Amino acid sequence: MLTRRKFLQSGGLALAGAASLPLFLGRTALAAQVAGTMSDYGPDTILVVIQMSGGNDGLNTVVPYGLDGYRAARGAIGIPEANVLPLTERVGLHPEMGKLFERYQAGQVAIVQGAGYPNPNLSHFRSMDIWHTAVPDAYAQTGWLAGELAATQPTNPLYAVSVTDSLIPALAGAGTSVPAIPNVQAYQLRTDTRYPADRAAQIAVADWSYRQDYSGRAGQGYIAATGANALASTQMVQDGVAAYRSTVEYPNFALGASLKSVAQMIAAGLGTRIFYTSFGSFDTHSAQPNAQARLLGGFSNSVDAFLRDLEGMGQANNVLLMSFSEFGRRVQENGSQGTDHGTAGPMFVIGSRVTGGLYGEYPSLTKLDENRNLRYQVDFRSVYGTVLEGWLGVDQSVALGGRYDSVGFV
Amino acid sequence: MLRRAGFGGTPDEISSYASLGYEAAVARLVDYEKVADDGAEARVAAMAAELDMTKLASIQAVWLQRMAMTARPLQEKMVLFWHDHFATGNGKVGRPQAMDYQNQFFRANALGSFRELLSGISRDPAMLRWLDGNTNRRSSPNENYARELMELFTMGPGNYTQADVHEAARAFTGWGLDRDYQVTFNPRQHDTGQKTFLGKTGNWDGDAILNLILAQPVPAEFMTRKLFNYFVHDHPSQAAIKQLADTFRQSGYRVRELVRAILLHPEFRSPDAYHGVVKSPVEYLIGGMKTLGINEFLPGIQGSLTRMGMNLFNPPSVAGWDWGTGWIGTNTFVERLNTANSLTTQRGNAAGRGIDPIAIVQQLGAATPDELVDGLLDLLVDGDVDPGLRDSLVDYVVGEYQGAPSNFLRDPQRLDRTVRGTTHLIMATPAYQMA
Repeated sequence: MLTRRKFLQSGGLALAGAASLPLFLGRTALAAQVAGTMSDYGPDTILVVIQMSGGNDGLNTVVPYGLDGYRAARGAIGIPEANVLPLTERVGLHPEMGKLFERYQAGQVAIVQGAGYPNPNLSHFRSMDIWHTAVPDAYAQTGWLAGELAATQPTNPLYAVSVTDSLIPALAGAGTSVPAIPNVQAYQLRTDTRYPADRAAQIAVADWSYRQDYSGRAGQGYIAATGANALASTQMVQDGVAAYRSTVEYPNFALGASLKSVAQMIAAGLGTRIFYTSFGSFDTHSAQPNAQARLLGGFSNSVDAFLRDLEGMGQANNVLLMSFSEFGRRVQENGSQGTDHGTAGPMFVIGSRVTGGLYGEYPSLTKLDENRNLRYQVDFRSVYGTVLEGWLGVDQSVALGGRYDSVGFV
Repeated sequence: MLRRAGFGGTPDEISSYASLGYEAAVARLVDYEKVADDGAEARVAAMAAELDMTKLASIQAVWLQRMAMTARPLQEKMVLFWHDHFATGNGKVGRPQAMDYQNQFFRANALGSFRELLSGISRDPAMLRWLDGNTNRRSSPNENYARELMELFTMGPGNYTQADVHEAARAFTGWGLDRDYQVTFNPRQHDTGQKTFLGKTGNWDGDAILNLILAQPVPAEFMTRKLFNYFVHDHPSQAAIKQLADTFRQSGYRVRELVRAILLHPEFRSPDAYHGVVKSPVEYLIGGMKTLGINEFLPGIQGSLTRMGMNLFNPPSVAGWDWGTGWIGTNTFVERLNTANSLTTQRGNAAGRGIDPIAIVQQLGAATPDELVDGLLDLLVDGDVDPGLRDSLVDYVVGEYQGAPSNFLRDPQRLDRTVRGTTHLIMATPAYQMA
């Protein structure tokens, strides 16, 4: 192995330092490198995934208040008809979702009813794994959005960002390195403040070391790739977000904080096209009404604040949000004012370019599967496919291992 | 071995274990009751007397201190294993004392009987709240605990059906918690009907369900694989797992005998195992402190651990933490580097919470840049890095210096800057992330 100094002397300057990467890659270059992907909505479309972790009770989110079986199954925790925010005579939104209801009426919200997959798995972990990999019938290693990265081959280290405490598996695998940035303020590297001039030397050595060959050293290649991305992306984020100014107040809520970080990164023009957020926990085996009301209210208010922020910065037309949960919950409530693990549930697709409305049939509450759960109506992979091809403008077959018909919301 | 069976060692601890020879060192770790631990016990008791132990931060601080000081490192490493295995979070439990109670249960049974661990955790107050066992009633059972018992605690997916989950949930009905978080049992809420579980029908209660699970061959292999991954590496051969699982089952599920067999297994000393497991954040932190002679935790260390991905008593889910490369994301890695920066740059009043560059240079007997780099690499990563990286660190240390190498560390500022900077850089290497 060459030492770093000899490498520099031999003229290998172009690879010399991720710390200086932003100097090489201005915004024009960032835009140019992703110009290969293009949808009808332009080259700058951005996807924000919202994961509702823990299994959201779809029946009390998009409430089938006019469908047979709802009242009978939900004697203790059903939403009273008078409180439902009606979308049709049969279904309506949870009463805490007023902001989203207004957005729905403005045509900015598509709701895919009964999204799921064949042979549903009632384990949180296996089912989440299925939603992350988009492979329901085998154990796969590559996240569906990592598959998108494999198709797009972005060189921007911030092309996709996991706005989560740990890298979301949907963005892991296929040799990709995606930064996890739960909070932009905390995302910076510190060195010895007594010797500020030493910082560049330290970062240069570290960055060089992360670009060496670690084959034969278990785990270290992955760590090195992560380190290289960390050095580059911390610098880019800190350089970029300093300019963010916003008067929008986000709710004091986990998703609100995540979406504010997303807004800051969008405002910074970092070239990110995929953001992934997660909040919860929706695992309401007991005392569901208060817990879910708080979560759905927080969801609705956070999304609304985010959209207002985007509108203020002129980015609303470039952003699409998509929510999902690993499963819905049992139709029949349990004895703890809660619900056990179920199957299909609603997905929300939100944005000013969305064709709003209801998609898919609401699953029957009386013709259930052998575990007394809902039967899914729309394969979630067709929603993913619609987002990939219709919104991001990339070939869905690399990420999904096949082609699915468009659901039609974009 | 101390990196795996504990949280790393001070130079003194390492030479003490090394002087025993391998098998005696394993015995000292595994048969830990024979090792006096008065120093840690006294310190922990003093801390508990001083702190408000109804606060989670206090319970976290006391546990960290115990990890750092204990003369029984394997016991504490197993407490961490059980906390991860039976992952319970105070975020939902909302009762730090119950988390502490559970922590003490794990310590008392750290290498005990797996059957008793399962039986105890099934009626542990924090667990009853965490997985809703306290509201699991006869009229409409709550499946939360029953599912995770099989999926995460004993067998893994694919070894039971949804019907088994439902039947097991019925068997565990009737348990509850009173206002003081004491466990109650209400016979009227317990389902005494016939249940068919894993193909066997009877009037099963919770302990009967545990016995039916442990009568299967799967749990021994499931636990063996998990402990092998924890101590050795993540790609055991099926033959090794089978042999170790047989040992475990034949011992009557005594965890001590399984862990002893793992530590004595040839794979534990193989090249695959060496630097083959990613350090968890507490190992990164405490191991670094031990190696570098730091006895005091930094203020705000809980926040650092949380940003490194390990908020003790608040695992991300009932599945525990994602170990291995799961510890390494850009954000958690940046936090490792920032924690290392804190450990290497404390000065003034806070100096005892960070490294002492002069003492390190004396300990290493280093005078030249080469001796400094080689000494620190040996201390921190057994020198197990590529020569090119070693040479680049020397380049960094030398910088623009043109004088005689033997005079290099005589300049106090140069010593201060380069010892701190090089230590930080080595703690940033991929090799240092590995145990």
